[in-house]
Amino acid sequence: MAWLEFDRAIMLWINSLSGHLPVLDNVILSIANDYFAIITSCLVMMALWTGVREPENRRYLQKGIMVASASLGTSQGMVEIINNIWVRQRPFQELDVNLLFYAPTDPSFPSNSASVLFGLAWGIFFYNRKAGTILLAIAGIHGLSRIYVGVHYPLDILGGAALGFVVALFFLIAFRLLNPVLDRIINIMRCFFLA
Amino acid sequence: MIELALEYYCLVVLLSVATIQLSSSYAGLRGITFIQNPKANCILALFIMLPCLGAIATWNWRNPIGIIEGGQQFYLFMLAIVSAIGLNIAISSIVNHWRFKNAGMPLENGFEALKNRTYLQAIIMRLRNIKWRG
Repeated sequence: MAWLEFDRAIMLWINSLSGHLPVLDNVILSIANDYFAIITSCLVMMALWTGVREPENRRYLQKGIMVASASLGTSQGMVEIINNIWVRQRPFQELDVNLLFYAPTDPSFPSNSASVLFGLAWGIFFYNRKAGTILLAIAGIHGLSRIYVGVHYPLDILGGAALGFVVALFFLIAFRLLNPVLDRIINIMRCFFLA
Repeated sequence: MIELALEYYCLVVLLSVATIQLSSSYAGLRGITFIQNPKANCILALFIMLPCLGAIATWNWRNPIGIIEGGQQFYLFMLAIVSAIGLNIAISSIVNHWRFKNAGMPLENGFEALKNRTYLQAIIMRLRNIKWRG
């Protein structure tokens, strides 16, 4: 299919940039690793939970964090379902790429880390543009770095981003409908000084 | 494998403690900060946070084939966050106990209560105020 060929061509071009500058490779390798981006994003969420001074703004943002957390978990589950339907090979399995990373064994599409990070980032973005933009930037840079190191195609990252968006949008609507329940949960947490 | 999980757990605990300290200093929640001066507390938090972030960023160099599976990572992360919250409550309640001992203000709900009380003082006061049904 032409669009898969196009996807491969973009992947090969981005991956061809690697291997020339060891410093850049090492920096991108640290961004591409499995833990850095997700832990950083979760720490940003934790800071948002505690670090807002006005109670009403805090309560509003805490609802956003609930949307983001639900999106994070559900995106992960959706990726596993899609992986059972379509098994796309990793770039290093079918192309001659410069692999800077360990070789993951799960299917390529959609990118697990991208869907989780974008799900989380969109969830926050709906409630706080500034923090959401930072998280979207982290997710985007992480996605690009995964193409650069040779473990994903661009379409895997775009698929993960789209999946994250759809899941976050679903929870935004669902949690708006369940607003009284969320208020109740936050009120209980406030009783125990946790919100 | 256990070493990797333990390393991951310890790093996330330290990062979470540092994040809670940074954000609580910013929000003025003096009851859960380790040091009352916000700038000094932020420096302490950054002192903990930056090396840990460095360790996370260099994970794949130090452990080239050391991978924690997604599910395990989730459980370890949740466990680490709960531990970090517990550690924060314990340390801040001990170091600030005498400072806020005679705080006579009425008990508010939520984080506002932690501006002039430690977490343990607030929760004990809340439990005392509950009208138990007999």
